[in-house]
Amino acid sequence: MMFVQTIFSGITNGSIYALIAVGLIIAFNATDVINFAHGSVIVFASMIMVTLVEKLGISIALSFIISVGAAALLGACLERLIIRPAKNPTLLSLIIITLGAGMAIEGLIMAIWGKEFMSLSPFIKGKSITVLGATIIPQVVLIIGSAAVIVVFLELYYKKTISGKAMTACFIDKVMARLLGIRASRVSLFSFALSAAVGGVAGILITPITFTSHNLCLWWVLKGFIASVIGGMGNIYGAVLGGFLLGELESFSAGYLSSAYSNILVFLVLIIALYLRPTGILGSIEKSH
Amino acid sequence: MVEPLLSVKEVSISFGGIKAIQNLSFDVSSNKIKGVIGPNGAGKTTIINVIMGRFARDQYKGNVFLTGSSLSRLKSYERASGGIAQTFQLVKIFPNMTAIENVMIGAHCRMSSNIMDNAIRNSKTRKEEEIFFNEALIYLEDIGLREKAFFLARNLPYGSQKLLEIARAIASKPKLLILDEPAGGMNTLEVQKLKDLLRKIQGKGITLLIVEHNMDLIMDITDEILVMNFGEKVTDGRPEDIQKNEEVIKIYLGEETDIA
Amino acid sequence: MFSIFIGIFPFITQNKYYLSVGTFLGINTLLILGLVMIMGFGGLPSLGHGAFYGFGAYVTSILNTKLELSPLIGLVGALLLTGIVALIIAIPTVKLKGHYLALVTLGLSFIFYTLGVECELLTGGIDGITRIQRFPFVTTDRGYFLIIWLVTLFFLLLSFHIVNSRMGRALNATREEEIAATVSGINVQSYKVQAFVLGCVYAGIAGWQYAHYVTFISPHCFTPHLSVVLVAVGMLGGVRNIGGALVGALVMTLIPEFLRAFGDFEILIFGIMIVLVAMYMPEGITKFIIQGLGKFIKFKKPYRA
Repeated sequence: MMFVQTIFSGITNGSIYALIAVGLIIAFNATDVINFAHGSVIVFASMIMVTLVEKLGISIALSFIISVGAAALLGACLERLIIRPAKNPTLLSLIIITLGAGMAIEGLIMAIWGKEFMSLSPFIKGKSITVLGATIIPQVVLIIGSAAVIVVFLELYYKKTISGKAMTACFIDKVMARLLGIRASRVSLFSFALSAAVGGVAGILITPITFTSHNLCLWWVLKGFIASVIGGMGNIYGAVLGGFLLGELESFSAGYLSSAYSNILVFLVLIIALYLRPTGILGSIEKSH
Repeated sequence: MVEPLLSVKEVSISFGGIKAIQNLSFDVSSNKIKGVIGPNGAGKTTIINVIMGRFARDQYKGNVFLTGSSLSRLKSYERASGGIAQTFQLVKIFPNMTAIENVMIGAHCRMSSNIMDNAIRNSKTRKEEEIFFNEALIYLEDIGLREKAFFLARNLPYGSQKLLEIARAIASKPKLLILDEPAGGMNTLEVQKLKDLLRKIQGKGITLLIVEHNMDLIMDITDEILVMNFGEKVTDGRPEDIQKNEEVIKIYLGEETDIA
Repeated sequence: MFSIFIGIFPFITQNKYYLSVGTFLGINTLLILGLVMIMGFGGLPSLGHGAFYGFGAYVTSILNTKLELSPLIGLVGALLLTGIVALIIAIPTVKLKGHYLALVTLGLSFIFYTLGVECELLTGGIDGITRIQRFPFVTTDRGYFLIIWLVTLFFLLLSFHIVNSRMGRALNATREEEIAATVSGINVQSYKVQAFVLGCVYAGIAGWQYAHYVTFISPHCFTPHLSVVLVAVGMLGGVRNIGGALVGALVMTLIPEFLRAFGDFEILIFGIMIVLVAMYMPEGITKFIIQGLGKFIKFKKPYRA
């Protein structure tokens, strides 16, 4: 039935948004910077993946590793080259810097791959799964599974490993963390790399479902942000929850209204959410200034 | 009995399990200078923040009254324009504005031109600007910074910045001026000048509440002292009595000491 | 003080091309001035400036072509719509950290584009609106040049006044030390909202100028990309400088030519430029220009040394 189908397509999109939001939040938590270049990194990774798989015929697994690695490298470069050396960064400057970087990466993408859409065939071939009269393609299950794995991994990482705890400490109080011997700069570098890697994973997994092209760069950042706001800013679980809710919201408004107006509806919901509960559903762990 | 200017009644506030302030009550009488002393962590800066309205209503218990009316409904900036001014432990001047602009900001709440007036620079705006500009010059004169009126605040020496902050606070013509460690980082000569300045301010009818560690300053100019420790009131009284108070001595010097 | 403004009155040219560039310069200056008020003085990141530009343009165009109303009424409409939308967006967001506003306004620019494309009945969809009237009594290109610049100079003057008065000081204080500003009785949120609404209204008026000059508009004129470029150029010009708006506008009008030389690498180069300027010259380039030109520039604010 349409209802279940709508829910499923909501899950499809939702899982994408969840992954993107999680990636965005990782960097945000450690550095207080919303990385506007995140979307560009996502597209970059997906472009590389497509080239490796489709044009060069390299195996999916290997291409995956290379692409994610490239993304992580890009993230690390961003941190090292532009975030750290920036003189006296005000919030405004950081926003513009990451915007500019995003634009530069987008420009790079355009220069290398042109303006067309690119796509991949799904990683798991096979028939669509049918549940309750609605279908879902296996790729989506892969995405959801990956999202789950990543979240669990992050949870364990932050809580159990030393470097993870260091990251958490940096988020809570950078000065204190430094006094305790934690190298804030290393943490910053690593979190950007990690964030980019997760973004890369997201980008690669999504490409079989939605095409990828350069003008999605800013779009992804926006979606990731909206998901975080809805679910709770700074909160990994909030990002996931927000992602799925956003997906469902879009799906329902696209299904029952029209796909174009769904964006407008989402925007209105965002504004209303900001009026009523800016900390999101699961609560925000943002430092309020 | 004349009503006290400021009245703090049974204020309690905790941060994540730590009781920063417990059931604190004290008064500040009009036109007096009241000192607040206590070891670090006693809650002195926290109570200032409560008075200045930096916490949401549901974050603390108790009430604060200014000339008899409760402040609980007023937002931070409303309390400021309602007659309470403050200077900060770590000086917060506006670094990229000139000294005179800094002082003029202090008078912001006494000016009334709005965006429309300003945009067309009508006579209201022009008159106001002139009046307050000249007034600010006088304030700068009072603190000895007249010649540096057009210097950027960040280029002034630290001691001057502290004085500038006081001038800014006075410019709002407050009823109550709260100073958080005004003598911090000052040498003896500067502290002496500060004492004179504070007495002059009191002479203008302003009530002062001073949080300080500098005992010389406190004992010399205050009319009354509140002693705090662990977020609670230890005692509240005249400087001479405080100096002899056993508990106070214990806090500052430890148990087994003779005060000669 | 007024000497600079007079310096911008080159009635002289008759050449059509130069006049047209000059007219666009006027429109862009007003547009970027709005962003200077929002970012430079309000300290707020707005990635939706292009959308407000578009709102202004569309309102007046719709009122003009569908309801046959005069451009002057269109102006009022543009003012109102941009003001109201700006207000609605600003009120909940200024309390929160800066990137909320950045992303909400980014969302707005996407939405605007979508609205422009989808609401075909109203906006003519992708093809936009054509045959917008020109201003009633203006017939020559020269005339247009003057009118547009007249409007822009008017707002430049207004902004100049605001910046050098109580409100300007309050905005500067808010940006530098919000706590200290609050302690001085400044209602920080209210001022931020005012700065934002003001800047957005400027953009709307620039949109009005654009619509009646070019006489056709479409959603492609007002993309999210434009909003990002505006922010970049605004910052380049000098975020806290009224004159910076002019410099920014110059850059914006002339840079496309410069970038075209790079062909495919256009955007890449532009992005890198933005990053470099943001990193090493966050105050913008106008300061350097001022120092360089020395004597001519009198951006003297009354209370500065």
